[in-house]
Amino acid sequence: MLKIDKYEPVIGLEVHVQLLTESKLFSFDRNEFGEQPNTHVSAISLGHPGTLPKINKKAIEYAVKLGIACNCQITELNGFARKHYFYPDLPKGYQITQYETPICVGGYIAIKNGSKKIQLHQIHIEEDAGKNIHDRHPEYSLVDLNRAGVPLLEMVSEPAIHAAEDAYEYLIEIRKLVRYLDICDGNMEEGSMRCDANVSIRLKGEKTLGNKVEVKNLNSIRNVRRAIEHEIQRQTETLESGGKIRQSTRSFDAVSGTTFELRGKEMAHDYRYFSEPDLPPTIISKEYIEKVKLQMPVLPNELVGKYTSEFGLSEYDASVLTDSKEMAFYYEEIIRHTKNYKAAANWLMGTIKSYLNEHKIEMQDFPVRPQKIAQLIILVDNGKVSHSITSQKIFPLLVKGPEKSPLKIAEQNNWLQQSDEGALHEIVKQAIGKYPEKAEAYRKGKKGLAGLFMGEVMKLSKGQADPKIASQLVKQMLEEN
Amino acid sequence: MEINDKLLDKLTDLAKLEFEDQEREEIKKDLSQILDFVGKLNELDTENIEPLIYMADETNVTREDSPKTSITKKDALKNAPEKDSDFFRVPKFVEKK
Repeated sequence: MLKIDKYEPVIGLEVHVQLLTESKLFSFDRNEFGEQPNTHVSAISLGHPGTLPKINKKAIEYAVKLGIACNCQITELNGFARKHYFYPDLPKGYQITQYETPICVGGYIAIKNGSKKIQLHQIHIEEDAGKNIHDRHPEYSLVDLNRAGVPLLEMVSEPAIHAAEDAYEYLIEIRKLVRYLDICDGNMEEGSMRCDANVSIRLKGEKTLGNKVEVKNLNSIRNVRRAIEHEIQRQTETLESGGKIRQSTRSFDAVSGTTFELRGKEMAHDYRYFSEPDLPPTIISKEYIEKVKLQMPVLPNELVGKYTSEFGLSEYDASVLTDSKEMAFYYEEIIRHTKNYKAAANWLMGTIKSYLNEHKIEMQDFPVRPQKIAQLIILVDNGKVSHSITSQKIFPLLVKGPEKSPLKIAEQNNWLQQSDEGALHEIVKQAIGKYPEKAEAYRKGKKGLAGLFMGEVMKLSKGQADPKIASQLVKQMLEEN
Repeated sequence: MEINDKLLDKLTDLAKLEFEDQEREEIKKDLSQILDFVGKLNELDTENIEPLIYMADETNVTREDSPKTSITKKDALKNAPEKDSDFFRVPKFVEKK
């Protein structure tokens, strides 16, 4: 039997979400990535004596938004605490965080199209540290404090994830959620979303947890999955060969796909938490929560529900359409102008998505407004233009001249289908006149020959005959003759 | 309260400080006296009493999210014992592989 089946992995994730506020958590210096080092600083973020923190309203609002989106309980009386440790990127000697009163308690993230829930332990607010740079100077480490004091939300899951794949999906959902809420750009590669994974294994059926290993330096969602897979394998092999798992912190090496030990846990951390007396408590009232609820954007799971149950789209289509906020909102705009939900979905997932991929641009940079796409759909639905003409001829012109009207383009290029029966009548007559013997054969029962006449009609009309009307007319006129 | 070597080791470790033997003896004595002094508070019965955290009754003292610049990079680095034109410098402390 596979050794790996003998054990059950237990995974807990800590996700840090960097908030898109304009200023820092406890001071007014700018929260902006990519500036010259040590330019977005103030006496407060530099930890000068005698300075006092004052909390940023927006950070509280964002935390409450995320809490509502994750179905958490929102804490009424919020206090902060000092977490003490010495590190050069932490000038005060302590980090201000929430300890006993995290702003959000419980809640969950739904994965696998809502069929599985990963329980959250809590979400709390804390400040980020600065950045240490080790590879630029032979004797010194360099410290940049632009990031010091930037607001973070730390999302702590229950140790209730049992597969690397579930951890992967959990992170995908969190990233989607923070992007829909517009509270974080969710970019793990740039560090605006960070994840540490706590991994342990235990014999199946065992109730107590095994010694856990904390894996750090995971800079993509894919690497989180790889690191967890590796840890499960490594821990299984260690136990199977009679070894023990050391409680420790390990780092992931993306090149080799393995982890290596950073430090053991012989000396347990002693952060000497105590209440931050410089920050008066923040009370979050029911009224405030209601107010924030009213400002909530529509969330991906709500959209998936609407698309599958009301619009009759498949789960797959619904999940592709809601994959990014930009795509979902574009779809929502198209269907404000047409009720052909399926056609709108097909346009977006087919023609438009391939255009984006081909030109390597993002949805938000796509030049054509959703209303124009709706107009294309309506042109086809009204029988004015064939679908292939809209997607192959009008669409490329529309991308080049997004201000143009699809109908005008069709008219100018003579692409309107001939559904005018008078003109069609003439064409069908010509087509039948061209093959009198075939027409005779048709009347004697070779009904399959209708296709031949249809082909001729399309040829004569240069593809502009409305196929539905033309085919009726062909049959009708063949019978009459 | 007596401060033994084990406790002092833990405290110096947390504080990232080192002391000579002579200094250690003095610190043990000082700390012990400080603890005895504040230990007086233990005589009070604090059962069922909420801890006092804030000295004022104020709540929800918040700030609008509007950024401003208060000091330049040059000023920020001014008081640093070690620096270059862009960064604070500290002794190298890379975590070992």
